[in-house]
Amino acid sequence: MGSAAAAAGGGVAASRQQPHCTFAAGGGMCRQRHRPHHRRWQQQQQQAVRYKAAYEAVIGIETHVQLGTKTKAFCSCASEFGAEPNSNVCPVCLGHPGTLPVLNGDMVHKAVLAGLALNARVSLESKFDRKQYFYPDLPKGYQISQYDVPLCEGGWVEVVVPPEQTGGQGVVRRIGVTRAHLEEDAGKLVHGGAASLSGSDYSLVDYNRAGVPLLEIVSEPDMRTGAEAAAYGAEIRRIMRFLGVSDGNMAEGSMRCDVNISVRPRGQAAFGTKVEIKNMNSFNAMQRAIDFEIARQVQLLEDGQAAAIVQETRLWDEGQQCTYSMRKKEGLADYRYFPEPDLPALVLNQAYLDEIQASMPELPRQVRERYLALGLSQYDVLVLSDERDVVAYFDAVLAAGAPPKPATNWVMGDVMAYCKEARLGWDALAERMAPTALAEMIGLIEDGTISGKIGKEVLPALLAGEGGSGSGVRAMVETRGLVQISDPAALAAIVDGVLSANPKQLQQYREGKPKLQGFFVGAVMKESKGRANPAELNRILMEQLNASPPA
Amino acid sequence: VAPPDVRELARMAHISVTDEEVADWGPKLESIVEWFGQLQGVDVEGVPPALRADVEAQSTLRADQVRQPQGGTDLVQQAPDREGPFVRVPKI
Repeated sequence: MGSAAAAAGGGVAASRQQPHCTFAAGGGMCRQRHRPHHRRWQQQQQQAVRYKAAYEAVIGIETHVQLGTKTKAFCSCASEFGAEPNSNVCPVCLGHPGTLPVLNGDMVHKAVLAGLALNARVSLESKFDRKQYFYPDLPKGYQISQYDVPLCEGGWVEVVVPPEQTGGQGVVRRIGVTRAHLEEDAGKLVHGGAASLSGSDYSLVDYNRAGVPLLEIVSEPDMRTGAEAAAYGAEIRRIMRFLGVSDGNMAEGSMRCDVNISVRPRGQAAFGTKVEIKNMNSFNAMQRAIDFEIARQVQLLEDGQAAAIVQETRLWDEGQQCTYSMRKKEGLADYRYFPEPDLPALVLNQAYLDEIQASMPELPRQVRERYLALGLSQYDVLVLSDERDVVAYFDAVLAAGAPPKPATNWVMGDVMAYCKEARLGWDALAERMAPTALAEMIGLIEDGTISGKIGKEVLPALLAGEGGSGSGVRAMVETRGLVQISDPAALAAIVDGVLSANPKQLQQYREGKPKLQGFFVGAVMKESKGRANPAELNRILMEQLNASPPA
Repeated sequence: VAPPDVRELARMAHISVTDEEVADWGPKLESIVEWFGQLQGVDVEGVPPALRADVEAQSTLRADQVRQPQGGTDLVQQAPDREGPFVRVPKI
């Protein structure tokens, strides 16, 4: 289903006989399949604004985070992405008779770290249960999970909805976390190869993922907009990456988000019918899916068709930019949970928890607090605090004495752009251009030794590793003769020279063409090989230009 | 305990059953369940539930080190239907 939808893109949809969602059936936006999706998006946004006052969306998110352990949850098979299919398997994760699961200690460690970072209560005693259903990617016929006594309960996450989404300084909210628990992943069904070409009635399974350890994090239904949901997802990912607990890579499947959403008239206490949405592979897609679904449900309510909103699972169609119902062949699943008899209760002691708490690295929220206290804007704070490696680099630049504002501009501007283009990690960057070198260069600009423009010229050399880490930058600048000319006498001499060499323009300026100032500035810069201190130059130039001509 | 619904169980297990099998298995499954149901006659007032035979056991945590399974990779070879490195299964 998913792959057919992706192939549909923008136009192959003619092969679909039925409208694939109630929105289309009702003559809504999806009917015009060839309409470019940005126009649909605009329409949705306009409608969303009209409805915002009258309706409220209630959104909760279930996130499955793959814990980055070396081995699987219950056996010693490697847990790695991209291996040859069915190469990381053993009798345990294939569910062969007579095998027994043994819990991965590092999985527990990472889960406790995550739970504490989510401000949750970590239970000293939790247990495992079997969630039973039959599917080809589930070798044992059940998934080992935690049902009624999970590892973590009752936490929260600080979420910042960026300024560009909300205007102003952005919005900071606390989103509750209901629980977080341990479980194992299923294998992966692929519909590639002969199976999809002939459209036949079989699938192919790769069991490398079967048994991979997961942490399922369930949020409280505290979110109200797609933007908030995307920000929540991004913060969960950020926290997991800062902790070193997971990659949080939605495209690779190491993090998955499922959304639960209902809509109710504002002021109504009762919740509307809850719809689950799956198959979003980025936070951006999640936001669009939620915004679409809100519009769809509100439209139905407005049309008096509340009954058309049913409790179901819908998939997000990235090509058509809409949600559609998964054809339901079965009723609601009956998982027949019972306690896993092959695993003892997971019993931890307070000392273990305290040890892990003490090892907790700085969390994104704490970094943001720190950077805001430096006086940086919310936007800058969000960009700088997004990745642990950037934080480490930026902190090192500050520690070497650079003032926050220029450090921010350089790191967020030229340095970040360079790293993106060269696909350079920030730790690799630090080996080429040490934070101390950048700090030194910033210092040279601050004390007037070089101008900002010279700084930009010099940066590529620093990025190539020429700045050293001691006072290498100053030496380099001096050797290359790039030191700024700030001495008023020297500048005055150059200005004199330029004015004498261009009497015609000088005459024109004095007769009333103030724009020619730029011409003189350019000429002085050229004469000084770009080394004139711009502020000083302007001052001296204006003095001379506005002085009365010699009698 | 409700009598086992053979059709429902078969549906959840993705197994097809004939009417004869339903008629035959229903009473048999029911008598097995009833046989175990004798346990419900025991008075367990005040007795904490034992989820496992060995209630004293603490968690055994395994070190996170990769180990190749014994017996090599002929496990997947045992699957009745394969395509390349994949196991071929009916589409559900």
